[in-house]
Amino acid sequence: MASLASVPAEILLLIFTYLECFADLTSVAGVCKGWRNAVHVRLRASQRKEPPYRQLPWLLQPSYDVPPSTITSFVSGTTGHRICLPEGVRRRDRYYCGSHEGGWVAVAADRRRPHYEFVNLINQASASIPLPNTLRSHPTRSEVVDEIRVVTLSDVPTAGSCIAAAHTVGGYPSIIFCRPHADGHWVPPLMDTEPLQDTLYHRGAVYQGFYAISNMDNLYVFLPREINNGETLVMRQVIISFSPALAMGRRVVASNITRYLVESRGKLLVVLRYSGMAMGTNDLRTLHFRVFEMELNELPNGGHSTAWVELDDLDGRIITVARGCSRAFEAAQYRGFQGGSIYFLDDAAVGTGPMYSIFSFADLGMYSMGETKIERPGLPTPALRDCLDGDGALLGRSAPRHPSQPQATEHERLRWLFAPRSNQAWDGRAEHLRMLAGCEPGSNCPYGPREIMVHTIRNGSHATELVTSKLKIVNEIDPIANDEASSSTSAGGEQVVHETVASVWPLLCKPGNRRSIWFLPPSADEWLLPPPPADA
Amino acid sequence: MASEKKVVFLRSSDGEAFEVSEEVISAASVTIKGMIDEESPSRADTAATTTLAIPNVTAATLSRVLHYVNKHFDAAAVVGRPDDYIFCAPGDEHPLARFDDDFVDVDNDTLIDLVHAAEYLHIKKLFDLTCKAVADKLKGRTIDQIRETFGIVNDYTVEEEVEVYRENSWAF
Repeated sequence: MASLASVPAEILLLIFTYLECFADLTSVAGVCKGWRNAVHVRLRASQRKEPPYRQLPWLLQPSYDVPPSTITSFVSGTTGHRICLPEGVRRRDRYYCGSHEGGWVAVAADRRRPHYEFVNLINQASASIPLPNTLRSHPTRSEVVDEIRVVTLSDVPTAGSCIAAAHTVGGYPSIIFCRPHADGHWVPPLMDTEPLQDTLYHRGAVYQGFYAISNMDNLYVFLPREINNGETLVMRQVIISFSPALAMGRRVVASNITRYLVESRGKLLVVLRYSGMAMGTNDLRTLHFRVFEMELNELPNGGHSTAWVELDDLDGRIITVARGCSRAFEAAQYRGFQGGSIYFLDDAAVGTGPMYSIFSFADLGMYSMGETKIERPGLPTPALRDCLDGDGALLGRSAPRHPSQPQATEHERLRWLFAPRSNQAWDGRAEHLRMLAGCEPGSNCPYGPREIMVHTIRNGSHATELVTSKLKIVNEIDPIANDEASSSTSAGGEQVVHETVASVWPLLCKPGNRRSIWFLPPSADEWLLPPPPADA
Repeated sequence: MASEKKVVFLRSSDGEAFEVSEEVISAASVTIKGMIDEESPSRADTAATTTLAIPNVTAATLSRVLHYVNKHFDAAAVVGRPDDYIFCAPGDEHPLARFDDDFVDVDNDTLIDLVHAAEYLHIKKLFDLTCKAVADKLKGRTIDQIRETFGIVNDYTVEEEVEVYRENSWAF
């Protein structure tokens, strides 16, 4: 019998090419010297790729006590992996208000004694980067800053030139700035704006600065300038108009629009998240996303012209959205991903109210554009269509119940849909299946996967003439609704066409945990020790 | 009759012989195809069937490999799209995806034996499948869990071990 200990280095290397997650690579490199060597060879090979490999964010579910804090890695396909948070971060009165590449998170202490800092959760020996807790709104006047809701950075917090931008809960001023290494206080912009929803530092060709989008769809650019020999930071601003309503082909009925800013391929994207109130609850439930790309050009007179293009698909990209730390990734770099998906957290409503009262834990998930398959490497990847039309295979639709049986509950039906046929072969993955379906009994996540269709009625005699077009949400778990929706019917000479435009897949979040955040781990090759020198 | 379907015998390291269609095994295994091609001039005119010695693979493993080969490379049995199925959902895209999933759902030693056999016999599809299955078993585990599961000896010195612990301290 062979064991993994006797596997030659070349084969080990090939096995390790299937490991892409920072957590897995770190564990494997720690096993023995030979394995560390193989990990380094594997990393050098992936470094040669263009663009350079970036880790996909983890879903970090922090907790101060029990259950332990956990991470979910989409690249690895693992959920519930424990992560040990530093002592000072694990306390009951701490909350998270930002994250940055390299393992950094922004941690805030409670309102009575405000305290803000960036802490590295991976390199726990590195010093934390404190942020001020006072605001200098006037050259001679400082006041304690209102509770910070989100912080975003221009660079890694250890960089001397790093600038931070923050939104406060009160929303006045709408945005504040500081240089963590130079300033003892935050400063407001030269002119205040209406309430802002999201901020991102973007090195655009025309303007390099903090881009911030408001409730009114105005996009501001705050440009840093240092005066008094670098003593003082001032932020002047430029306004760019963003008017998605004009380009709106398909009207969406939604009670709430959340706006996110993402940088991708050197351009700024505005991601609009439409959500509505779920029946009988106060929970916002994500319905639909739209993505716009900004085309900004400099004019000879010093101004700029802007054009917005709505993206019908993400062209092989994966986007994770969250206030202040949305990121875009190239799906081609991740084994098994095909792009077209937007991962979202339950921060749709984080516009008002104090930090503690606004999370439902119910609306985390993945939005998949188009009629694409759900790409989740390491996890079973059901195609919506196959779920519906499969012939009782693994992911077959729930069969009609016997009339004598009571109506299945939502949980039951979901589990049924995703129930493996043979439990034995699937032991290790049952948890992933439940996570995908979001149907853990007793969880705060009662919604199953749902399909988003455009329901178009055309005039029968003039097939090209559009009568009406509307967006329709179909709960996959309801076979009757699906039967009705997927068939093209003809009524009164009108032709009804159903086109699936997207699907929403909830993720499970344990209600005992704190609010989930995206965590951006460092790259494995920066963090791992060099391999021991070869025997001379 | 013999010309209809040629067979070869593969003799495992522990002396057990397995019958397999020459066409199927040649399509699957580069190594065995090479062996058959080497043999062919001498046996073209004889009716005797060939027996090839596979010294590195035990009977238990060889029978599993042949089960896989017959499923995947027998043109009469294969239906659907043969390529690029490894990352698809079981029961989803490729009819054999579910077979593959069950195939690698074995204990660690058996799986490693399959990796070795696939490498020696040069069956790329099987090699990729088994390597990925090994990697899946490493995912989401701590260092100690991996060492224990796979019986790997920790050869770090005490000083190095401290560094390794620092590197992993966030995960404990």
